Amino acid sequence: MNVDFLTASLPALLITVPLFGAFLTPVCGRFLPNARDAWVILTSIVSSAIAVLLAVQVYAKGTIVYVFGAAPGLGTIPADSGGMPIRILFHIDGFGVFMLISAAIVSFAGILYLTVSQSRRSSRSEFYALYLLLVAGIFGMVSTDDLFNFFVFLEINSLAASALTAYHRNGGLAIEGALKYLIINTVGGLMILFAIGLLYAKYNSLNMAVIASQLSLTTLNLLALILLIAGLATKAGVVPFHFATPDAYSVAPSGVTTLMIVASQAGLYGLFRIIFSVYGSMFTPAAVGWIVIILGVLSMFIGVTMAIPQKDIKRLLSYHAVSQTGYMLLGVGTALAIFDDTTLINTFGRMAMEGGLFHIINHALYKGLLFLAVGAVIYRTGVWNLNQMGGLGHKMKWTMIFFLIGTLAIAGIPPFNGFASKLMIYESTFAFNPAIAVIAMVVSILTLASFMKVFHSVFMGPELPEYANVREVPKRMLAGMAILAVFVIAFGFVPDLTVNILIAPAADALLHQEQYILCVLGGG
Amino acid sequence: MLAVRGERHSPNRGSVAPLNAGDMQQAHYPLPQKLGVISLIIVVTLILMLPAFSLSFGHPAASATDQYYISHSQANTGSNNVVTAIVFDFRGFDTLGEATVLFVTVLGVAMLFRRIH
Amino acid sequence: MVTGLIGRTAGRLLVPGIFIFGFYIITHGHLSPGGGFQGGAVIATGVALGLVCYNYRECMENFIETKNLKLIESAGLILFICTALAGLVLASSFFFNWLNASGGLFGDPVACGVNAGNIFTAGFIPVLNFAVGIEVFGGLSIVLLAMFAGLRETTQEEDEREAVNFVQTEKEK
Repeated sequence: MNVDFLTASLPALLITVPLFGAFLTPVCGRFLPNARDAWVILTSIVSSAIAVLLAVQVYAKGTIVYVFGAAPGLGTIPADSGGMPIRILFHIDGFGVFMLISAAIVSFAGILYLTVSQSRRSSRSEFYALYLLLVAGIFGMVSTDDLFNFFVFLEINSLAASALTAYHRNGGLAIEGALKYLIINTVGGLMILFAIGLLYAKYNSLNMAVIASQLSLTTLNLLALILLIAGLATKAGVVPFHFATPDAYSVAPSGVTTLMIVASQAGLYGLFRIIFSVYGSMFTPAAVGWIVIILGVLSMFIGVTMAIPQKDIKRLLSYHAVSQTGYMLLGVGTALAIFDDTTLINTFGRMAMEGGLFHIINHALYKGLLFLAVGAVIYRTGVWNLNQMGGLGHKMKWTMIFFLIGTLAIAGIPPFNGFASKLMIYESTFAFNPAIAVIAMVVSILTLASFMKVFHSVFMGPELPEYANVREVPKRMLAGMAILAVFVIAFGFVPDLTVNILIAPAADALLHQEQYILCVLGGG
Repeated sequence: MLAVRGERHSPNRGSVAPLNAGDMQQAHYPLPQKLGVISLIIVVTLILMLPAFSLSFGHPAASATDQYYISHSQANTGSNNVVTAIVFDFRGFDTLGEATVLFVTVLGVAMLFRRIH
Repeated sequence: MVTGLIGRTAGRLLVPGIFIFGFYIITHGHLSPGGGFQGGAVIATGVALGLVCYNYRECMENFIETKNLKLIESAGLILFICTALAGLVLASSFFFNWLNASGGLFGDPVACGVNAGNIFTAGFIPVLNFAVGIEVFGGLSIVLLAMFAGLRETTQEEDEREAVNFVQTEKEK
């Protein structure tokens, strides 16, 4: 088996490795319990490495299309099928690879953190197996070209995330949050399934490229678009459908919340893929673009205003996560609203799209870092309530530094990555419609105020007697936080390089729908 | 972590009263709310039944892929049952996904019903 | 609870029959309607019958235990993914039907059109059916046993005492 063959089958290994690791984890936990943590960390390292290798290959050679079950020598389209791909395809382009990199970094940091922070609990084999399955679900959701395959991975995502949320049973609190998350995501998934059924009935194919090449604007296709937007917005936690997000994120273990943020951004991936690559410019872009912008503005504003009065620290962070999702929608919605005007696209439309996409990975990194730091505080002290914490900066210095990095990043302060993406969003939306940019800046100021309050009440102030013997968290948890912090700082210091390498191919992949169709149907 | 149960209070939750069998009553909603719920149900039903009247049942508009599956599955996969051929050969990757969904569900149930000894 | 003598005897007789019938549905998945998911669910109803006829504790001690079922379930899925990976390693791509028409285990070529149905055809489809079947069986049985573990079962004396109480309250009315 030579290297070429291995490189050519990387898309298959991308899903197989986490699945295989997850299937073997309960067996390993029963027969070799001391090796189980090492097995889980090894699987996570190998899956993240495969994702990064795949990214390097796509950046070097272009889009990868992989057929599952093809006989040797046959291409994507069998000769006698009349030009339709009949098997399941993976289509990994710049946008998919961008989400894969974000998932790879965050999942590895999370598993380093979780192997220590959950070390005193029972049934950990099932917990780690579910974590690896959530990683596999995210990897699959952002690579696939087949609508039903996308739905299957969405199901894996929703079920694994809700089971992980209910891990600390906490006398019923965690189970209630998990149940709410499960029901809302299942309803969203059913809406998506109905829309997939509509599209299949009309075009007799489940492949996104085939549907995109034959799509026309009829009532049923519009109905399918609305159902898909609603279902995927439910998954992503956007404002009219955000009700599961604060409850679930606040009761889940902190390392799991970090990965659940990436899982909900995979829902955003689906939303942008459907709007840009499947539907393309079939509808009036201004209408759908303004709908996306309005959803974004609502998310930003309602998220931050609900976050300000919160006393439960993880609930506060979850409402801020809802608010930051609004920034991503704002950037991409602006690019969508001016989609058919080529001059405007070239002046600030590309910057808006790139700002929105850059904010996706930035948000995963700094919000993950914040959740891990807060989880470290809860791990040592056992309290969630802001009113009861205080003076922890004396004992937990590294945690305080990581939390400070995350705070400065989310508020958009210069050397960190939040500033770069927020600046791109502000400039482009100001050129489009100044009122929206003003709302975005006000929301950013409110975010900064909220986090200053949190930082002061948790870490500053005199030492409290009940936390006299609180120590710093173990080194592996600090290592997990350090990985995310390194990327937060690195993306902030060289934003131009990051945008050119990571974001520009993603924006290109979304803006050029005909390239998407050509890779699957034309070249084979 | 037993102290945790007492500390946690999220502002959107009111006090939780113990649920006795005798406390169950019919929920009384005011009339505008009832009308709103009923109209929402009617609108959603109409929207979801719209395809049933627009698409023709049994005479699909396009059937190229379906025809390919019917005519080529026995030759390509060697099984007499076309449904099994599609589920396990042409779209076998989705079956792996569905088996994984079942595995996730079972792991979740086993984790939630665990006993701490 | 423990059912009466008739229930227990019928259960003992029926459970092997249910297992055989489920295994038949799994194995003939590529010839007649059925397959892995359906057959696995039928086998799990055999476990449910055992739970209904006997105590939970007797089932766990003499019949089948949760930790063994977890092994069975994992084994099913590992067989599934290894068979699919073998397609990658031996031939061209992941999930390629590498046993089809190869002369190997399930590799007889199939006569086109309506035929009598040879079980040794269809490549790796029967293997995948078997893997999914035992995975579904293991999974559903774990769900049943896990939920049963939380119930408090009544003993024989409590059942008889309740029957006596019921008869007395009926007499008083």
